[in-house]
Amino acid sequence: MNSDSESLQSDLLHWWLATKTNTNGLKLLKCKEIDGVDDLLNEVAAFTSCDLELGRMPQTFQLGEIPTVQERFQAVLKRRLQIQAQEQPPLFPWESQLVDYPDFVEERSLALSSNWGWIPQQSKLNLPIPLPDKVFQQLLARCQGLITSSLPLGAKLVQVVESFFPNESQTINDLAGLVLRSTYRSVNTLDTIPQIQNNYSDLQPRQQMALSLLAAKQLLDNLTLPVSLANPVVERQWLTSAGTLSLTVEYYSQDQLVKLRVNCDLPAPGILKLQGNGKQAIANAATPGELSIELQIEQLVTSYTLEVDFPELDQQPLMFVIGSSI
Amino acid sequence: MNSVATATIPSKKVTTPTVQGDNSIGVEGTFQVLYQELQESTKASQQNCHDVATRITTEVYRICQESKRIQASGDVQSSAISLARHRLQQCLRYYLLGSSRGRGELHSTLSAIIYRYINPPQRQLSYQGRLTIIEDFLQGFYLEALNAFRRENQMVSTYRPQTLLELAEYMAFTERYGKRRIPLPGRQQQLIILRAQTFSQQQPQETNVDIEQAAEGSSNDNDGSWEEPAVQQLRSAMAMQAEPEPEEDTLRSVVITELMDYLEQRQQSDCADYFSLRLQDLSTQEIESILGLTPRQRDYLQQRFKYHLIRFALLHRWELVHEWLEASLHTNLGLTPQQWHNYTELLDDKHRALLKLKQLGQPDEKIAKTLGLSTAQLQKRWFKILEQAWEIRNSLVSGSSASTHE
Repeated sequence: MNSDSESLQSDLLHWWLATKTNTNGLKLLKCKEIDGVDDLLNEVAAFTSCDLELGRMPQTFQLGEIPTVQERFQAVLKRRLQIQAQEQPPLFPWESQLVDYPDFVEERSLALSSNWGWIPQQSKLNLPIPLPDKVFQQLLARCQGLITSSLPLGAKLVQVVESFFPNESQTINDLAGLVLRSTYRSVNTLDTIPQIQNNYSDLQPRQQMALSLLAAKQLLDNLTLPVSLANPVVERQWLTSAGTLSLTVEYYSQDQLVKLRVNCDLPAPGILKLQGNGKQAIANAATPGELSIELQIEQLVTSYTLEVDFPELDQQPLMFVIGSSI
Repeated sequence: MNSVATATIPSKKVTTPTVQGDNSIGVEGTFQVLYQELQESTKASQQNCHDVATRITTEVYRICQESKRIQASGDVQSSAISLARHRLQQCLRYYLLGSSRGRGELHSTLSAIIYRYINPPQRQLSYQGRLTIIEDFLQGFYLEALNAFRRENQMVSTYRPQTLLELAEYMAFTERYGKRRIPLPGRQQQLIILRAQTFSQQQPQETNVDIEQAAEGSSNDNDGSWEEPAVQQLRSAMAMQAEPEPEEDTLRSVVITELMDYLEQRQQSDCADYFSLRLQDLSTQEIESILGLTPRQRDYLQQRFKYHLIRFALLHRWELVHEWLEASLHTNLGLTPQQWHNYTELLDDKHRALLKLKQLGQPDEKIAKTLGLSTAQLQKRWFKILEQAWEIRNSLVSGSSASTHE
């Protein structure tokens, strides 16, 4: 290639980059020297019958859309982007970290993770450091099992936590007393839990017990809806993986009938079951939103239970107890 | 974000694949094909294979029912089967890639499609800058696709993929969803491109560009600073406002395609890559970033590309290129009568004879024989002749403006 042809190739390239929107009348004059895109554009504009403004645009965008060009361009770019995507894999909306996806979601693992939907509530608890999800899940399961029990709160707490620390009944008992009194104290001043550790597994067993007791107490609190004649309306919220479940329990009389009514704002499709004293009411919602359930009762002498079931979130329903205060 | 039609395929209440009267046998057959293939090709559970096969079947028959083209073809069943197989292959491809490589594949595919449409108003972006916006955009897009997947498959609003097969199904769906053609006045556009355009238009404006300057273009238009990126962005945005069908400009497309093929045949695929980037309104810096080249390496590549470009235009496909430039032999290589006269005067006898014989349409072998030249010699001379004509066209018409040497 000599130097003359250097200009040829630049011309040629420019021809590609300029759009011939109308070839009529262009004939010879299009082939003029191009020492800048101005000339070319003016030329095209002057000798095309199309809109002057548009004629001045190098419509490379259309060139880019010629299938051959577009395919190759995307392939080139993709090769580059793939390297980047492998280094920093993107996450999908439901993911918080990159995980392997199994071929099977086994029944057993389903059962193990059966309380995951209810777990976000932990963030609403007042704990000095968070519990591992698994510990929290097991605590919740134990609390659920004991929620309707008529045991005093202290005994319930001991029973909930005891199963995690066999042979430590005495210590747990002592600590439970401390936790019960902590109602009137700030959690942060709990001297059993120094601030230096922020990982549950790094804590002393004694500290783990105290933390578990503290969580169990708050869970039992959260799961109890103490309505009474003096206190006929109780509101409660529970954070689920789909959003907040809001409950309002009302205890009221109408036309000489005493009724227990629960209004819910469901974050997911769900089923409500209100029962006690041989009576039961069920309500079903196929979509998230408001759902109410009502039961005619005698008097609030026994406790009633409210089961909230979100089949999509969790295999296990969440059970609240209504009426008896702990 | 949602300014464009969201649901191109309205969802219907079809929850099992066996409800369509006339098609019931076909539906069942299609389902069985998918179900068996999934069981053979994946390690997923039967239930999982069943669910995915059901969803694909349902969607395929919905499409077949709504497609006028398929209905008019009269052979709904074979359309359905091939559509179903295609969808199955897409799903299996992601399945085989796995979670990590699969998402890399999806992410880079979608990013490459929208890359050139990420043009925030009056703002110039580097390669990395565009990628940052693309990342933000795709996060929202993945959620949109998940919701579309749930909606169109009648799934609960909390559904999320849990197995590898379900993840693959979602990724395949997301790719198809992004590539859906949305009809616009006079043309079609891919859904994800429309979304990306809207998204990038909503990006904050940071720099102002003189509209005049943008329309005029840069006067220093050589390969070093091809065009100011900011100006270029604005221009391409303006150019997009009235987009004719690119296919209509057939001859130019043919020339470009032929050049690509020519480069490929000569094992110059990196030149073809470079060419495809140059046709995309990208700045030199962006091209370097995408190709992973230093400026010096890019310069070498550019020189190599030009070498092949000239040989393509003046030697191998000179007829096609000259026809496209409207400078064919029939029109005296695009020269005016005066230019033509001066030009032929300057040629030596042999060249003049060569030109004459070429104009008479004689084949090269015959011309070579007549003039006593080898084919190679003939081609070399012909190259020279075309080159000179090119020079005359340029220099004489435009006066004495200096040519740009790059």
